[in-house]
Amino acid sequence: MRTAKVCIIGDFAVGKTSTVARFAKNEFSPKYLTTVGVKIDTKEIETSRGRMKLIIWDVAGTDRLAEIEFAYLRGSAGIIIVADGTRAPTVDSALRLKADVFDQYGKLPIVAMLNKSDLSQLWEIDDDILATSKAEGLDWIRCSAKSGDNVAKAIEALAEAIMSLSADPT
Amino acid sequence: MTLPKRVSDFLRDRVLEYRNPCCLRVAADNLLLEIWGEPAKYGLDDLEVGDDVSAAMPLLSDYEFNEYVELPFVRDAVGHAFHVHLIPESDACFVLLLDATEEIRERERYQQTANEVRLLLDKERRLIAELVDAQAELAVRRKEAEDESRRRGEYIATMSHEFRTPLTAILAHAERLVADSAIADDDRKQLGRAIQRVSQQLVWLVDNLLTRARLEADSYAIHRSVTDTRALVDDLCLVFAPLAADKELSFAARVAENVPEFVMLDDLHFRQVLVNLLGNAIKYTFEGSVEVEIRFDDERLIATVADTGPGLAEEERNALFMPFNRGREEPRSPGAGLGLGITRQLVEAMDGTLTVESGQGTGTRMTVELGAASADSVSEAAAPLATDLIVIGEDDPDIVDLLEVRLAEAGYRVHSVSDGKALVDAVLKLDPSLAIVDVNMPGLDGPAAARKLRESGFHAPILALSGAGRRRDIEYALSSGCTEFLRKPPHLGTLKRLIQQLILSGRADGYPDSIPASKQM
Ligand SMILES: Nc1nc2c(ncn2[C@@H]2O[C@H](COP(=O)(O)OP(=O)(O)OP(=O)(O)O)[C@@H](O)[C@H]2O)c(=O)[nH]1
Ligand SMILES: [Mg+2]
Repeated sequence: MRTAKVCIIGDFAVGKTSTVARFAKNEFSPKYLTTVGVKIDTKEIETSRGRMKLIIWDVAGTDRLAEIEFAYLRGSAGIIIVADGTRAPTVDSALRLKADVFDQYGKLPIVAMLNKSDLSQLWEIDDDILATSKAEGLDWIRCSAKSGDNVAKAIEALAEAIMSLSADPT
Repeated sequence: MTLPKRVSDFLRDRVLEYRNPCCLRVAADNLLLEIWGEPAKYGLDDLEVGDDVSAAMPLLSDYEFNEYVELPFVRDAVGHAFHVHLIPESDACFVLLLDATEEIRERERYQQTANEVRLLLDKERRLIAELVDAQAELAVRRKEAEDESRRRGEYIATMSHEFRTPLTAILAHAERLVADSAIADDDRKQLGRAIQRVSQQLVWLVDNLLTRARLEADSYAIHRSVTDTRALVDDLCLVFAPLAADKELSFAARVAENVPEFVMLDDLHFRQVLVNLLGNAIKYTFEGSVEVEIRFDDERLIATVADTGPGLAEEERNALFMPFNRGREEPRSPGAGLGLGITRQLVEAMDGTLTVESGQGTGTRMTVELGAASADSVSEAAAPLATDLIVIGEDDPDIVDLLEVRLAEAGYRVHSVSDGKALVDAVLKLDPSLAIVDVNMPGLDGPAAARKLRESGFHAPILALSGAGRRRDIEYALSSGCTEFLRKPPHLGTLKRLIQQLILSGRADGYPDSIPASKQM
């Protein structure tokens, strides 16, 4: 079976750990327990090119990549970038992180998840921000780890991208 | 750096004891070559030489073991916490695991606190932004409120002036009448007429204010009844010809041949519209003429008021059609001046149209067009019979006087009472051809009395009178057994015509087959 390492990065408290918990175990907790270092989980999924095992590295929240994160990200086949739709500055962090990743590892397959879509009352991201972000290479998918909305869809899209890249590496 | 052997042994023992190391030697294809230390501490006790380690340690999949790498603070899926060192050696690699349970726990504690503080700061940022927005919003609101209150102030000042001028005139005329006992009959008449004219203007002013208030409160009802077209035009002439004469304007009113004698329309409001248009035309015309013409075409009544005044510039014309209560159209002359805006709204409320043709220097033509079915067929009929008795329930003595005098003039016998209960008693005892009830009588109100009468088998028509003319009053009256509805004070021509017609239809069919008017409301 094909295995692939993917890293999930983003600013603190945007919901990275919650997204993995939803995706890997279909669980959610409203309590915030910050991640230190990195936490590794696995999940097997079905893709159009066959079964695949994702090894997900849930990296502690940060707005820049430093040496320690570069060590964690070595060997990643793809990147999940998460931002919090109720905190606009986390989108800026995501853009910086994406630039850092591409500088170090080249253009990896990447999916951008704009989390907490269930909190529409507190939403801070308007169409302008989305458009600017898209122009800079992040095309956000609105997700919610709480409701589960779009979580599997986004990560499976990344898995498909990884699979098609390894099948046709040009 | 060298240390005494005793010390370096001590350090080594402490590290081994504190870190519980486990060391694996792994081949490039992830197969386990050798294992040392304490695999049980890391959940690796089942691992045997020759196994693929990536199943038990997914972090090792896809790693290229070609340079030294340190991965601090790693947690696996079941919660073991450790530091990882990958130390390459020829075509294999040492994987050194050092326990970090305590260290991670401590880091988590302070990282948690730090992040929670940052989230709080973030919340504060958001609240401050909201506060700034709210303050800006508040400033706008305050400005709006101030504007509104200034507008109201100006409005009240203008309105007070509008009332004060005619009232002062009335007072002056009345004082002369009282003070001068030797006043000649002709002069007395002149003064009386002047008082009449100015009072009439005040009535229009109040009518317009009421209409405006109702339009704003959206409690506006249109009520069509049989209207005598010639009588209406005669009334207008009576009022406006002298006003025009005062300004030396010629005044003419024409009714085309084919206009039916009686049509169905909202008499009161149609009058108000024409009064406003004529009042305005006379007010703003300084020489020449003011004319009103009524035509009839395809069940539509078309009334045109034309003057030879200075005319309206395009922007003034547009201002007429601005939504009213935007503070733009302000009272410009007593009564009628309060609003062409209101006039337009009234016409629209009656499903009609108001058009303006005007240019600077060419005078103004205002045309009102309304659906108005001919009512000639139901109307031309006999005079009252000597037996026709009308019972009136009305608590306002002035209205009672007015009705008694006018109905007696028209040939009816009249009996009046001043409350609902007396009305029921009187009607049941006297069995009149028609009952007139005031909607707002003390005790039993008009509609309640009507209901009682219907329940007791009274079949003749019942006419409701109300000062308010709100939709709900009309609906209340008609659904309680009243046959028709009129506003107070009723226009006497309309009242007589309607009474005649009600009594006729009552004679022909009896209740509940009332006249079509109430269905056309
Ligand atoms: N309403 C809502 N809350 C969410 C959602 N996702 C995560 N949260 C909450 O957001 C907080 C942070 O979630 P985590 O998943 O711990 O965030 P993280 O990105 O892993 O944070 P770090 O590990 O500190 O970088 C927690 O209180 C979660 O319950 C979501 O989709 N909706
Ligand atoms: Mg986390």
